[in-house]
Amino acid sequence: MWMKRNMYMKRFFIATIFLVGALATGIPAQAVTPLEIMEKVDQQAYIGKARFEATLVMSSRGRDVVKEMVAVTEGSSRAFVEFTNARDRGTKYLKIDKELWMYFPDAEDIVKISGHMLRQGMMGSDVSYEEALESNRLVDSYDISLAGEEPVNGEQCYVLELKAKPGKNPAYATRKMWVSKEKYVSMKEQLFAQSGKMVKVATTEEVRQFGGRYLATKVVMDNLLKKDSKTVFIIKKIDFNPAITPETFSLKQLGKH
Amino acid sequence: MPRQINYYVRLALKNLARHRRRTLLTVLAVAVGLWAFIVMDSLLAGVDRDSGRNVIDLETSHVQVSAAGYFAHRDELPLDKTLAAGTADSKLIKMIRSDSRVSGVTSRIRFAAQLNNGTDEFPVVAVGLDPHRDPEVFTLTDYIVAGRKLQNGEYGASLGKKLAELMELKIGDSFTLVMRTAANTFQAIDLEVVGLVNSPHPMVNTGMVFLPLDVAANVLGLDGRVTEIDLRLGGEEAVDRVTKDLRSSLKSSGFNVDVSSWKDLSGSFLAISQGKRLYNGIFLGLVMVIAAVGIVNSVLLATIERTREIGTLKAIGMNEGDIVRLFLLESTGIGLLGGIVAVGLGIATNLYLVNVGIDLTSMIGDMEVGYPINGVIYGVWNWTTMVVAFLFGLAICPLVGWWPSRNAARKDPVEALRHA
Repeated sequence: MWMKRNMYMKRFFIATIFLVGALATGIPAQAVTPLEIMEKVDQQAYIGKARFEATLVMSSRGRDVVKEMVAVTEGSSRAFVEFTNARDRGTKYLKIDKELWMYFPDAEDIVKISGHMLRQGMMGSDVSYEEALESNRLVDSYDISLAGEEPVNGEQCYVLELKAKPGKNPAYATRKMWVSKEKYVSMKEQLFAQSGKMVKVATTEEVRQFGGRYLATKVVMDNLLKKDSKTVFIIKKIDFNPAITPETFSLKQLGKH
Repeated sequence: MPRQINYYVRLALKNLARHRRRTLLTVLAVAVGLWAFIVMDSLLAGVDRDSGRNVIDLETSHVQVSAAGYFAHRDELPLDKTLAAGTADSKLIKMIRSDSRVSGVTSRIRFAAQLNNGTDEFPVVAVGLDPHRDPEVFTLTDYIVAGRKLQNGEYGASLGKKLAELMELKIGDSFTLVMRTAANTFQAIDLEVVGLVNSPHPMVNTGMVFLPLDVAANVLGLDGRVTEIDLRLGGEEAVDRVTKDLRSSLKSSGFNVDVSSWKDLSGSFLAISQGKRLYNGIFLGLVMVIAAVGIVNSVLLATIERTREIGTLKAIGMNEGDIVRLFLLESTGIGLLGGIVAVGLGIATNLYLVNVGIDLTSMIGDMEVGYPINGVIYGVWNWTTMVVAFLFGLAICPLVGWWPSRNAARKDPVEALRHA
């Protein structure tokens, strides 16, 4: 039972990394239409090559669970994540396009996350594998409108409303996003269920500049369906030019002790 | 010759009466074994019957019609294989109703969801049901122990009492049901608890949430479509026939559907039921051993105790065959008495089991035992089992009594008379 729950937790972490990675970066630019703003944000989701060292803090009912990890990504299609904290050391995930594998050191085996497992939400529903594997650009899935401008954490932001395009079925029917006018980083995002009920809010608490690029380095994801439940994702270190070999994103690498 | 047999019968009866305590103990040993068999058979048959009823009344119905391919993936609760049968006047339902053996038809949407009480989440099977048509097929509303029945169009839910206790919900409380729509979009709706159910089916009590069909269809993006059509038949004996006939008639009418009987849909329960038959066989074997040990023990003791008596019998002219016959008659008498006592006790016990039953919750609490049953289990009347138990006792006693009685009869009369 513990092993199963622990495995679920790890799935959530990886899913969160993939999602937050999509929210995290931005470059300054001028944009006028909602579509252009969103395209800028979408472009930032494609961060090319990077190696992160990050901390994930999951809080529920006053209890914090801290996970440390190292992640190597290449665009939105490939990612390799390894947990480094004592309890989860050796647990690894590999994402290639829309496929996801997990290496669980206790079992010394690689498991492909597929079928109905992809629909499983972590701890119930926070982030599912499907969400993590979604690599469609937001402009392809949503009709976007500009609802105004508002400050968030001292940053003047565009307020964008995203509604799923007919025939497109993204995970969330509607989203509301506050995008920094200066940095094109999503400072805040509300995610809504089909019913219109707001289920999650992601808030950027820290943005740092790396060369010409702005990056959200601390993002808090509040699960509104659970009281006192949130996940904090902190990027401690990032290298935009890591050494990536053909083996980096391979099952062979995933299965290495 | 008849006089001779009567003589031996009288002598055997006298012997049985003479050694009352030993006779009584042996009869009791045989009776207890046979009685246990009768009682266990009654309870297991009762569990079997009630489990089947629970599955039919609360889970599968007699026969289920679903979209082609649904049956193979039913455990995943897919929403991409549905039927246009959300209303009673749909063409498919009308055609099913035209079969005179079908007494009730309803539609349901079954889907995977998470029950969220604001603090915790619990995975459940959610069922959208038609509040008016569902009672034609299922007995869910008979087990509402608090609150009321569902109504069309309301954002209300009935859930198992134990599930409600687990999630700390009571009538009037709200919770959030989290799910994916048919288009795989995240969905979350708030529902008010309007009814609590305490049924004899553990799955209903601990892992299911019921909401109105129209609400479920709406929030899942399945307007007019359902995952299953459930049928109640006039009698259970018609299940296989109706399933077969519907498969052929619906196919020939152009409906591409799966038609499954409750037996098809509840494979795991039936596997347990088949396992039970093996268990019954083992139990019968144990009873045989108990009875045999009792008889052998009794006859051996009688032999040792009565060695001098055997010597006397041989001295007055009885041969080996006469003595074996005498001992076999005594064993048969024990079997006869044991059988009568066992059947008598079995009938008395079964009167209680059939009418009052045994409350399992006091013994095992909410522990799941693999059967779709909980609460009180009842026995059933099975006269064949009683006759079999009686005949078994009657046959086994002389069978196992033969060897020690033959040994006793072979003893030399002089040696036997000297026996201390």
